[in-house]
Amino acid sequence: MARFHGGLRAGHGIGSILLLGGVLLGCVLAVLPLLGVDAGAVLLAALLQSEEAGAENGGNTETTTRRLLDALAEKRMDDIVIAVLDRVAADPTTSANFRRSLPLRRATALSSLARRESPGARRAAMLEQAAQEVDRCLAAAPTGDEAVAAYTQKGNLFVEQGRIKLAQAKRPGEDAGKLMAEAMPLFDGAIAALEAPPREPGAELPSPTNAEDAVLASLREVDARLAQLKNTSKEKEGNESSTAKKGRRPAKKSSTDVKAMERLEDRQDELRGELLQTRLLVGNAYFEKSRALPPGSAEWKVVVRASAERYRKLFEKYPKWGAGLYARYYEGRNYLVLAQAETVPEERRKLLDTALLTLATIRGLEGESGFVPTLRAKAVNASLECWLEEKVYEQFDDRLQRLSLANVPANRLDADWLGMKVRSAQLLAEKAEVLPADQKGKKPGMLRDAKKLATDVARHNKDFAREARALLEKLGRAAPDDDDDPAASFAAAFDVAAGALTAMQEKQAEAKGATAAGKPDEAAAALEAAGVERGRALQALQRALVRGDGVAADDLNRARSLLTYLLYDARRLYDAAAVGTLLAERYPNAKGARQSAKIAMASWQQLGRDGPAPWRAAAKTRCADVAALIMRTWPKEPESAEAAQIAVASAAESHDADRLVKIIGDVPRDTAKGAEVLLRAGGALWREVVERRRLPEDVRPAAEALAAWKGRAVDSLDAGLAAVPTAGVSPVAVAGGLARCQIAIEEGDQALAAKLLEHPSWGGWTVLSSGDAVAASGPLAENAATVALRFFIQSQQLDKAQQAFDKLEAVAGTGPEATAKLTNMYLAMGRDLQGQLEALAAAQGDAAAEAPAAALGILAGFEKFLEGVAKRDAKVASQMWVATTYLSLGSGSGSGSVVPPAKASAYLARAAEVYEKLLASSGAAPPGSADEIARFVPSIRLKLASVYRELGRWDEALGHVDWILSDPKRQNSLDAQIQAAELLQTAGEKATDNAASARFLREAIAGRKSQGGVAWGWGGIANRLARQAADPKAVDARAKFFVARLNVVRCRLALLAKPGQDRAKLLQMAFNDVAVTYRLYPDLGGDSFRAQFDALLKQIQKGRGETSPRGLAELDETPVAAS
Amino acid sequence: MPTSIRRGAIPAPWFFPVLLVGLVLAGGEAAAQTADRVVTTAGALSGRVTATDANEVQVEDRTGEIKKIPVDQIREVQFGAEPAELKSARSMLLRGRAADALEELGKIGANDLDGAEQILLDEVDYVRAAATARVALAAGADPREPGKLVADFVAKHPESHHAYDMQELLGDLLARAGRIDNALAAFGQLAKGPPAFKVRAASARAAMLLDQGKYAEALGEYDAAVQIRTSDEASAAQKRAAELGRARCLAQLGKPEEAITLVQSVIQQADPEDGEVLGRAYNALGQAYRAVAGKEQDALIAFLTVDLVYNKAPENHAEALYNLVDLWEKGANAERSREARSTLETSYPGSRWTKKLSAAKT
Repeated sequence: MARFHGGLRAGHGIGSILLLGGVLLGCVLAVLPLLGVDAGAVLLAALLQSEEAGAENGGNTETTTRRLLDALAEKRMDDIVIAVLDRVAADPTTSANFRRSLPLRRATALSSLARRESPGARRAAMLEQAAQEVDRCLAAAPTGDEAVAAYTQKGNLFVEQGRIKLAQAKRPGEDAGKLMAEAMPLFDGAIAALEAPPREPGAELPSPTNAEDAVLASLREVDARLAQLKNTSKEKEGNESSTAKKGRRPAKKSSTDVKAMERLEDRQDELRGELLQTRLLVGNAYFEKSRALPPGSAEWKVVVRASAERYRKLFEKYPKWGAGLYARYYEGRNYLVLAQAETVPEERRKLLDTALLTLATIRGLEGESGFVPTLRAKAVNASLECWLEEKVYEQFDDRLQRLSLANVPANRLDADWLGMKVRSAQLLAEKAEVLPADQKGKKPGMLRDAKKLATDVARHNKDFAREARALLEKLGRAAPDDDDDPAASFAAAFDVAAGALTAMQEKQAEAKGATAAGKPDEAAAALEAAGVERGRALQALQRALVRGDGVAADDLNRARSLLTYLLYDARRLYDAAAVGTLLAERYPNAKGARQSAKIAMASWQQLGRDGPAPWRAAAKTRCADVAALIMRTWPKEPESAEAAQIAVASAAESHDADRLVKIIGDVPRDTAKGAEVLLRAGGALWREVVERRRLPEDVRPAAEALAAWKGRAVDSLDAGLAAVPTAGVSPVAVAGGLARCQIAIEEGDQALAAKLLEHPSWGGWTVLSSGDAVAASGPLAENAATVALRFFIQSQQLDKAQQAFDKLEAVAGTGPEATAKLTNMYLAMGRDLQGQLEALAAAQGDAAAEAPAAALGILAGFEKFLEGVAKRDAKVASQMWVATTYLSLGSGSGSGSVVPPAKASAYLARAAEVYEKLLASSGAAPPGSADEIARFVPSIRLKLASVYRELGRWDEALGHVDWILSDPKRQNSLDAQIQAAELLQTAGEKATDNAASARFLREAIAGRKSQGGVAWGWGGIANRLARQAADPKAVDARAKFFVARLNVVRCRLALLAKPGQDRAKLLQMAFNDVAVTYRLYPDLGGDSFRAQFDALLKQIQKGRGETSPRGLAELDETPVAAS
Repeated sequence: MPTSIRRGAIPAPWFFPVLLVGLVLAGGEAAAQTADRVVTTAGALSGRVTATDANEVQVEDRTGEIKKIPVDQIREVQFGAEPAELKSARSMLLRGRAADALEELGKIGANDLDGAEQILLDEVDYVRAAATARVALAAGADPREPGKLVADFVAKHPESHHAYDMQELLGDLLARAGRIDNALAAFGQLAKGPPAFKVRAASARAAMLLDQGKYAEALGEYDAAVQIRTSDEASAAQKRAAELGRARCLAQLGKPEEAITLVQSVIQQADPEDGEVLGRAYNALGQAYRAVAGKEQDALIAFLTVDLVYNKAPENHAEALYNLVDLWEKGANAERSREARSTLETSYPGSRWTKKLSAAKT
């Protein structure tokens, strides 16, 4: 008996041989389940063979490249295959032979890539591109294997494109009719590419225009050469109908001839296999085409019958070959499909009988190896549909029952197997009910088998699980949780969990539906039932994990992933976070790891926000860690951008500039979310730069570091703004644009600042001026107004400046709160202005030379505008702004080199003048306006205190502070108290009278009482904030607390310089101040404050004579000292 | 003049009586008394190895004729009487699997070498010393202990056909230990061999300089290696290897384009089945591409060629994987980066590339 080597090269899973019970079967298992989907890659093998044959012309590089391409294709690195092909195509030294193979290789890679894309435009475009590549290949009129591979690939691509259309047609809201019509020509194209047109037997073959002719042409050529070698006069004309191979070569041939004949016979086998495969694909293409037609229509019936007809012919020619048997099954399946759409009962029954008769061949197959069990299961499943329909039970005999009851490995249990089992159960249940009286004894056994089969299907929770559960309920018992047995396996427990999960989700959907339908009671009941199922699932998973020894890591991780989801669903957030984090950290490649990481992040986030107070800080840190892990592990996935947003918020909250820089470096830039993250991170980093610049010199980061951060902020903002979608304005984009504008203003780049501020979609000024009520209020509007005002003043666009000024007032609103808000906005703008002047003062190199002129330009703009406002606008708020801005311009501590001292003093004096004038007018104002000024008096006095402080007129400054604090209500104003303490501290540090300065410092620490006023001092302020200092959410209060504690220490150290002080005692007290703070608040308010405490402690240690002060490290080593 | 290494000369058809006597006296053990085999660049020659020195091996063939085979043409000498484990260990050593070779050597039973000829005992010493040295070099481990073993072998066996190989190995170990003068002396000994060894000596000096980051000096040495006047195929192969060294230097000296052209020319000339050389060549190509902005994907493809096609030599494969970890990471393909890392760490846990990766990670 001769061998038959399928159609393709070994190693591709096609054409393996089965000798089954003496019957020769060509196995096409590997390709049949996919029928046309994956065949391109396989057929490429044939092409490779011919390529290799011509490889000697290409040299080493081509040999290597071919090997590389094969290896890449095997590893499914299709993106790299395409990159390599691009290079080969661009290389002028590529041989013609190799070059000819490129389009088909590219088509195969693109098809493979497309299969991994989710259905959509991108996938369709890839398939279209692949089709074009195939056409390029065909344009060169290929022959032999190349033609076969190209036409087959073309047919498959058409089928795949048609399927996409059909899938699209099923989506709600799509024009199904139009899409199905569009699918038709695609399936017709597939048929044309695969099937030879009808012609007389033995007729001359034209140049191939389809896969079938291409195979036949090669086959005839081989047949002819073989016949010639066999020296027979009988011409063989591609006699593919031979069902068995002829005997091997005549005995008296030379060894060369024998080898040549053997090679040709092997080739003949291969080609026959290819022919069979092509014809199966043709039958399938017709069947696919039928799905684009209305079921039951005349046209539909014609196409399904055409498919059946092709399968029938194939089976008749190859009745004992695997491919023939598969064709027989598909033929029967087609009759069943026709029957199911038939409305005339008589016709329907006839078709069912035909289907059963056709399938009988396959049902009768014996053996348990190779493709037989799978094919038989398909046939039995289809037959069961017929029997159940006709209520004919007798043909389902003991043999078939045994086959259905047989245990099948889980990985082989596809829809056909499960369908066979569940339908067998249904049939047995029905049959048991109609048993004749003399066979009633069989009933219990039948029902037991029915239950067993249904349980098997329900447990696997895949296809037909719902039907199986319904049958079990009907049979009187729910599917048993048979994993309760301690000896039961991981798999059994997991199956129960998966089943419970499905039930839970069904109940949740039911609850949702009931809620939508206004049936709260039903919804509550469904939710309760869902909770019960969730509990079952959780318990089963825990049992499964306990039995995890020796279980594959993938399966264990699947269980962990499911557990994470269920724990989250059960609001067991800490557990969900722990399991999800474990999975993401330790098994990032596991299926479900990404989803689990996302759940872990969400859990930590919720715990950080709403969890028990002591856990919140740690949960936030863990949330940031998981976010970083997600960004690192899945940088290209959408989860990464979400994680980045959380990481930005976390880094901004903890003022971690380096982390922000890292996030900017890691965030994927080519997504809309990525742009948002860049804008958030860039803005946060810029705020950090601004805030850190204001820190005392000893703890301020180096200028280089600040410049580097600023540079990264600019990069990030620019990249984010460039990627902002054109449609729709997001607040994030507006805020990012404003941050970038502030930087441009600071850098003196007025053109850029104007462009940013007035960008047509997200420009801050554009949005603010748009007339949109929503955009005209809130923090973003405040920011836009202040930035715009500052820019228009500096650029001396005074009309626009006035508009911005009016908008600022409008944004602040009216009423008592508006005053404070407006004052705060003035202060914020003043601070920015100061920062800008200080940055100019700190400029180096060429910029330093230009800084004074730039500063004078800024100052001139402000002077002009301020004086204009002062003269023409008598409103209290306007006058306040004038005075406040003069105060800002005159009080910048680091702007000395660009704001000459005399000018600064003049500004302060002008500020005092305006404030005093306002105060004076409070008594003399006409009725109606007096009240407004009276409301401002405390604020004005506070400002005056600042002005006099700057001017070193301590007594006048303290006089105003005392007045403010003489009112018991205002005594509780934290801002007033802080200002009083600052004033006392500054007076103490700067007053020239030693006695007075020591007094001021002591009062700055412990407080002061005079003229009925009570100032708490830094110590009192800290005491009042102590409780809030432990709450991470009270960010502002925490910051003020630590500032107060730092200033207590600073005041004590300043006292050291005054004569007559007990130095040792002061140093000890200062030490204790730091140590106690450290003991009670080990995080010391974050890195920035920590650095300040460390620096002060080192100063204290140095003062105590320590040569190598260790700062906070000493407290770590000697906890007793700290306490 | 080669030294006789066997006890007396055996008449021409020596193997028949031996075989017969063996069969009678020792039963199955007689099978061990097969012929020696010298595998050369041109094929294999069977017979009996009668004498060796540093420059040649003498083989008495079946006709009794003595054939002299220069060491630069020898790929391997297999001894008919050697234990299978020794043969296997040497084969592993020659294929770059030094750690496996040591393990295989450990399988030789205590009695397997009872009464064995000296040359077999020497061969065991050679495989052990060379494999130990190769493991240390690949792992970047302390070279002193293996250095002693190799130096001992060189001192005791100046007439071994492995003498030059061991001199080179000694030089490499000394260079790694920072004893440059001694290393140069060892390479000097290597240069006394046939022409191909002169090229190897110059290349070894260059490699040492390259390792030290002295690219310009290394380039000079490689140039010298390439310019040595030779006409034999063994030297030509060594020169191709030297060209790859040149390419690495050029890439480091800011001339990556020149390096790329050079490597491509070596690739064209190499035997397509010589995976070791092609592996090195594609690694050099990858390095050169990495030095050119915007050519990361070309670098990736070069290293993938080593990973997927020319991956038999552990050193080459480990280097390629090391680079792939980084390139995939930079190409935002964390999954493939992890896969490359995992392959590197599991396949070559002791490799210096694995250590380098761990160091970079921390």
